[in-house]
Amino acid sequence: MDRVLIALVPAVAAATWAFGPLVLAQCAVALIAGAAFDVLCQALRKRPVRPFLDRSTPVTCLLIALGVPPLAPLWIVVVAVAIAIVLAKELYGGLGRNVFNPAMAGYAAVLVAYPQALAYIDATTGATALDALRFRGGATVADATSGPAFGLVGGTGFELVNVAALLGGVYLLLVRVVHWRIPVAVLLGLGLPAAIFYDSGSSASLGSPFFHWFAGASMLAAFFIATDPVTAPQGAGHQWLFGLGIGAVVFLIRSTGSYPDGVAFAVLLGNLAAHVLDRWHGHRRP
Amino acid sequence: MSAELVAQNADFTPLARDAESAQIIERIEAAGIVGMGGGGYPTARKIREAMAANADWVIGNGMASEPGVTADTALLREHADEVTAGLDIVARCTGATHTALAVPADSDVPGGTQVGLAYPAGEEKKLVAHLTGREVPTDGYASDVGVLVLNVSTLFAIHDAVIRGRALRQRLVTVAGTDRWVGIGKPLGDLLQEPSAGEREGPAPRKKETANTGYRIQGELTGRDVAYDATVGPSTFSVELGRPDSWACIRCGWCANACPEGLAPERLHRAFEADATDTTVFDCIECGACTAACPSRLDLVNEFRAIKTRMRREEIAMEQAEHARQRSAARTERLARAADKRDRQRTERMNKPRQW
Repeated sequence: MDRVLIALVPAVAAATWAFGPLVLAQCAVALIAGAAFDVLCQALRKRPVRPFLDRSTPVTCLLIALGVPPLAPLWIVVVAVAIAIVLAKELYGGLGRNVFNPAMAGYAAVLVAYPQALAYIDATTGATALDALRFRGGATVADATSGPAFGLVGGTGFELVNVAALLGGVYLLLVRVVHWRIPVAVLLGLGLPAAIFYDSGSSASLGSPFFHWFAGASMLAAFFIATDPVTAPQGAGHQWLFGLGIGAVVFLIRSTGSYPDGVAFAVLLGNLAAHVLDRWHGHRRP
Repeated sequence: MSAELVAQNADFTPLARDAESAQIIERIEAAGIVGMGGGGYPTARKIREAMAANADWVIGNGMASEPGVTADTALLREHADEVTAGLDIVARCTGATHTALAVPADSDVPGGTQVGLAYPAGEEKKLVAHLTGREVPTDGYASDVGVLVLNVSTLFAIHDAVIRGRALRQRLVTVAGTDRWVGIGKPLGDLLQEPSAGEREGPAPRKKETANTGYRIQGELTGRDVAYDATVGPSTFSVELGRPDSWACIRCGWCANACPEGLAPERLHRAFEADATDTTVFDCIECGACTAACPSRLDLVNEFRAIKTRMRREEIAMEQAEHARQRSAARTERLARAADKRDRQRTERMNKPRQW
């Protein structure tokens, strides 16, 4: 888990550089709130109180901080962390027994409960690339992507965070904390439908695979969220299904849904499927 | 130890290497030798069974018993001659035509057969298949295919008993990472408090230490950590301090990748925590690969030993309960029959006309 934290540093740095120092404040608030809720739960469960003992709490906190919009109010972060740590993790029995990825559960809860606070309205860019592409009227992709929300391939700022997350993810692969199977499956699941429906940028097309890979929370999802071993299946074939499914649902929500990004819901659906998939092969690995 | 001293310490009259089979087996029995690789099965009985099955192979098992346990390797390094002689004695005794002393690929023991298989090559069935090409049935033993497998420590003890006339009183044990000769019956607490126990991690030993801070004893089906005053037995090949700290299982699956039997140790760990039963645990060969692989430092293999012990106990308890139930039912029936008979006799007596 320590190495996961190290791998998150580039993404945090990129987000700070792209969206301003408020990102650091969100990270700090998330970490403090996470430690507090962790201690509270350990005390209530009469366990030895050692904040950040398992290091999965800070990972959860940072993922939430990176997930919420850069200008979202800080209390949103606290609520999301509370739901993640208390509801999604400790009430299920603590680390290792949670059915859902805590960060995504917390994020999805605030996304549903406080949509206004979470709408990606940015003072400078107006809307994110994902929104701009979806609600662009009859414009072609080329027209839409010439707007200020777009960078080189993904959205302004977001593409930088995604590149940084990809760097961290490659580090995780190199130190063998994460196996390449789930990240590759997620990116394929997202990229394949994007490639199929990308008819070289007409008014009906939905953005290229490269756009989708480097927009929103794609890379974070592929390397840091879907790969959480607790909430992912264990069999190799099941991991392929799990990753492809998450990628495909992300694409589906981005192209037809009304939420800013589909990662949280896709991962939560994947978590549900993971336990069903694991049930399939009795007590032997496939 | 000098030859005179050995003679003084002897418990029996030394026998010749080619003494009669019955004499040798009797000596092995009298010396109290049991399987020292962890099995603890009486060696004399094992040899008799192998002879009854016309075993033509004798294998000395010098492969590592568990990751980090180096006692067997140390024994081979210092006492290869005695071990080889022990193997020879058993081969003569059983009339086996083939012998092999299986040693790891990186050790050059004279007369040893290097086995280049990955751990757990020392597992009996895998070793037999590799050396003889014979497959031991799932529920069977090596003797079913005419092979007798004995641990190198057992072979050393056999040589000691037959040639030097000494009973089994001590054995080589890996104590907290160092290999030491330890007298059988020594309390673990004393053992680990001695300065030669090497670097210790974790808290100082206290009485009645419990899980995770107590002592781990390997080689017998002792389940988890054992108490301060447990002792070294003939099959105890390793003693170490319990793991000082372990974390929650995060289902990373490394244990499943490490398991040579294709089990899912993570699920068995859940079963252990829930006090649940899981029959797949009996497919576990207790190689300890999962424990070595676990990044959360969980002592998986000892948990599985505990599940096995508990399930066996439950089975015995159920049998006993069934036996008691049958006895109780029989007693009730017997009492009812007796009361019935009494009533009948009394009625007969009362209905009988008086004689006067």
